[in-house]
Amino acid sequence: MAATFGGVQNRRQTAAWQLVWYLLMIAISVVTVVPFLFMASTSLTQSFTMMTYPPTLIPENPSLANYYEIIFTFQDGMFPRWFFNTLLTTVAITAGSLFLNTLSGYIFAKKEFFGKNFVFALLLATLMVPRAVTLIPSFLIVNRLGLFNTYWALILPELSTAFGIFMMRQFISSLPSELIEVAKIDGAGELRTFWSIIVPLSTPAMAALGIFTVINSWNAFLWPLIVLRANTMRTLVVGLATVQSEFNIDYGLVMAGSVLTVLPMLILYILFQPYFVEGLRMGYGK
Amino acid sequence: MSVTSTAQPALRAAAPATKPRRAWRKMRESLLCYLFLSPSLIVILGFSIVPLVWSIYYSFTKGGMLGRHTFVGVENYVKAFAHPIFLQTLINTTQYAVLTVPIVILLALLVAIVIFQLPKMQGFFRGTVYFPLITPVVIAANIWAYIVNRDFGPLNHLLSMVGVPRIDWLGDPVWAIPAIVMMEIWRGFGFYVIILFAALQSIPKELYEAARIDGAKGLRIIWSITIPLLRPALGFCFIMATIFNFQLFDAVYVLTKGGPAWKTATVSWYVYQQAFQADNVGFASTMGVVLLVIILTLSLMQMRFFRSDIEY
Amino acid sequence: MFRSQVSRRQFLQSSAALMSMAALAACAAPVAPGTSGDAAPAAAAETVLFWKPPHSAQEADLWKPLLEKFQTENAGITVEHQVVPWASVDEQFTAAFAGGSPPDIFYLPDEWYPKYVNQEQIADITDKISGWKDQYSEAGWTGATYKGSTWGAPFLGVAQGWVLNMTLFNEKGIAAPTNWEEFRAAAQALTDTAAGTYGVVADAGPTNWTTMVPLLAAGGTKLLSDDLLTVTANTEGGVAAFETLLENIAWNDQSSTPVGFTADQIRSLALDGKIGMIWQETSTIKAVWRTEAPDLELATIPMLQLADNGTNASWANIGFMFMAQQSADKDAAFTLLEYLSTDDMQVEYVQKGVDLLPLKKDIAGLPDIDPIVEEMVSWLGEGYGVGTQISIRWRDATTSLVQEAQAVLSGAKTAAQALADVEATVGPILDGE
Repeated sequence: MAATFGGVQNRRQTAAWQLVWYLLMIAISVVTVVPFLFMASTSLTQSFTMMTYPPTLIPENPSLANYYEIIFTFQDGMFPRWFFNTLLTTVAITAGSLFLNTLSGYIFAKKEFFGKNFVFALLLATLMVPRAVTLIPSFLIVNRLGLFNTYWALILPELSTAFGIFMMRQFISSLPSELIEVAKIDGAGELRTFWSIIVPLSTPAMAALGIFTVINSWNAFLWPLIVLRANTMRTLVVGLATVQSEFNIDYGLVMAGSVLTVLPMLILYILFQPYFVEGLRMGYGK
Repeated sequence: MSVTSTAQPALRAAAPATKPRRAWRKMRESLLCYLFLSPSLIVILGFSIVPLVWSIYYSFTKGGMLGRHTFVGVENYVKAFAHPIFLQTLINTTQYAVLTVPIVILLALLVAIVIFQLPKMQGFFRGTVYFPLITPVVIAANIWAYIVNRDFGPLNHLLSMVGVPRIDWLGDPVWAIPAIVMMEIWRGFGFYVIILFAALQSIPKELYEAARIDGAKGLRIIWSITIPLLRPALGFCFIMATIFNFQLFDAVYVLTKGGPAWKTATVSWYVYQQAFQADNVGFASTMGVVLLVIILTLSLMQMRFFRSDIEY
Repeated sequence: MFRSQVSRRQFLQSSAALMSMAALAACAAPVAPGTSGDAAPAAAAETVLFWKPPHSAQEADLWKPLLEKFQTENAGITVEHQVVPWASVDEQFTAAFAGGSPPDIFYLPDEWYPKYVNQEQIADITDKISGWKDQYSEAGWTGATYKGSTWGAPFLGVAQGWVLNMTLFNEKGIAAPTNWEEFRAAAQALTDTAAGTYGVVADAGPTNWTTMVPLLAAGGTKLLSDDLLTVTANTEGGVAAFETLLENIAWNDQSSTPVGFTADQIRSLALDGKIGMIWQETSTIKAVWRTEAPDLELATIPMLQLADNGTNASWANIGFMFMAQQSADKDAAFTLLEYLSTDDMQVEYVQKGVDLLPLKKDIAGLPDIDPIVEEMVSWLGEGYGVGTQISIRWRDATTSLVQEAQAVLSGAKTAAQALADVEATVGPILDGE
């Protein structure tokens, strides 16, 4: 996979340069990853500040007490409740939006209809609208619909996004149209074509979009902050952030909560990273 | 639709007779397409388009979150452009974006190229550079607050090793925005690395071979072949980065709350503050619309510059 | 023909599927819970939703027995109590009011409530509680009056002043300051960046108006005019005030903690005995200082007089229990309000629970009151307390003050410039409300 740009002539120079690149990348990786490790190390202590000073990777008396406390006793079991809320909404959003975005992407990619270009351009234009503009009216709309403080308030606005439709549309346009013609000749209806042909072929792009969606939903902060009111309805990120503004906050505890919040995303990312990159690659490959 | 049964009558009919049939079929097709698009369109209409229109309406009114709004015409806009804090937010936001966007993309490009050359562990490094992006902003921001802490943070520690005096990054009006710039670059560059890396992979190797046969090497190849071919991807990155960074909110909300001395107050943040704290929703909407116009203009300008790629 | 009929059927099926999805979304609306997810009150009982930002780390535990007692005495009423974090009060209340399901009874300090009165979200309870007036101190009752009506029942008062770490003072052989020269000298002498000690915390946090406003009073001015139409801080006295604490001590001599220090850092340093003078609330003395740093010797002073027409000053503000406009006819809510206003609550929660000041007259001080707290409270008797000027624009004014103070603290602006800027940005938005 690596391409050499042919800047060097002999093997020794190549090896020397490669050493330089590796060291550079290791340094960069340290900068991006290690701070989080220090935070995780704080979670093993009874610290009252965010990171112990001087920062230590392995604390003196590491203990899992914070983890025990946050899972079982913190606010009478609020943390697992937050976890459940976040899991439920993330799964619902991802499943729903993958379905709708792929379907809509397919329609835009392979079908002809009146006003198609106009609608698509309109869709793309919405990508440039800053959140500051749509936030308050969206909030008021959610209230008018009576969805305030419900899971639907989180799920509904994300069920379909211009970005997702755009991404799936780009990908599906690269699929050969003959397959769809063949399906039509065989008498398959629209949904059947979609389900049995387009969807299986789109899995790389769906995996990539899926991961984006999962991570964004899991880590969402501002919107859940303003549409969820009860403590029992909060998501992990919002719950932790509000806890952090309390009195005498036990940072070891907050860090334990943070580690538990990041961990599922980390596992997901490690498992699905190949799909993720493949999906992007295919989107660009054409 | 079965081909056999309807085809023959269609072939036999004269030309005028097929037009209405085809138009009717297209109409049916269109309706079907819109039917399938309807859930997506309803969601996007409801949470993007309607709020946009609503905000534009509100920008010409005076009022709060609840209760009535009174129409005041362009008064809000006039006030906005004489409003010392709003003008400061425009300056801040522009300063921040002008610093962040080019640097983050340049950094991402360099890193993507470096990773691309590594014989092994490409996937690992792509993973590590992307890592901050899978964490919530709140957590990443708090980490950064400690990195730039005046007395305990590693950044000042490193700087002091080369003789630079300690800087109170988040407390000094001059250095607060650079501190946030650094944070957003640290946090976000991985995203562009992945995109640019994918684009690098799609450049055919033969081009490099050909260039090498012609005697070009290293940097020359990168300059004359790689970068021009990356133009679509770079354009995409620039446009996305501009749209994203002009809306900076989370870091300000979590870390600096607009300070010190209004120097990190971005337009998005001030809109939020005015709407939720000062209950000044009309004026907040006005500021939001101004931001929208700025982003739209910049995006269109960039699309023209990077032309030929974002075509549908 | 057969084939096209099959596809037509599928077409109908798919549209049915899509329609039902949309219907499901719409159906969710009436089914969605209006109040918090968990509580399931019995059909006959009424639920009162009670919100309060915390004044203690054990807020929820403090309220449990008190609310249980209420529920026993008032069978048929269930109280649902929620601790609302201070940082998200704006969002939570705005969202709750806008969402149509606000708390029935809630606590807010004087700085926050005029906005909600303006939004018509707070019930005008003048008629209901006008008879209570004599039970309360004058300051408390005045604070509850805005635009001619009484809006809330005074609940607790907060007092803040300088807490001196005498252990550190004694180490360096310095006495507690009695005037500003001594204050400056102490701050400089106590600062030793090598040892990590700081003379004073020149608070740059988002709530530092509680330091700034008394400082202005020490300089003989108030932030806003009494008719709430102009900014009056930009006077010689005001400038002197800013200069004293901010420009002279903080920047030139680096004798205060840097602006970029986080709250938990400062807290940590203070409890380690590394800070000479820090502005604190009475509730922290017992709950934090005596508990976590029992070996430190403490003393207290107010903001010292600065100008001839100024006085010693300390911060004092008041919080109230309000009833939502949307719950104005809910008798159960008012019953809770009455309960929260009993002498019992003043003693059990305000005094014993969070160590703050009761607002009802004739509540005796606690026998085991901490000497530091006692002294801080005594200043109020001497008229040193300055606090909020009740106005919708107060928050905007104090936000501006905070931002400009940060500029002076980090040396970006002079005090004179900063105050002129406060006047320039806040002046135009004042409308007497």
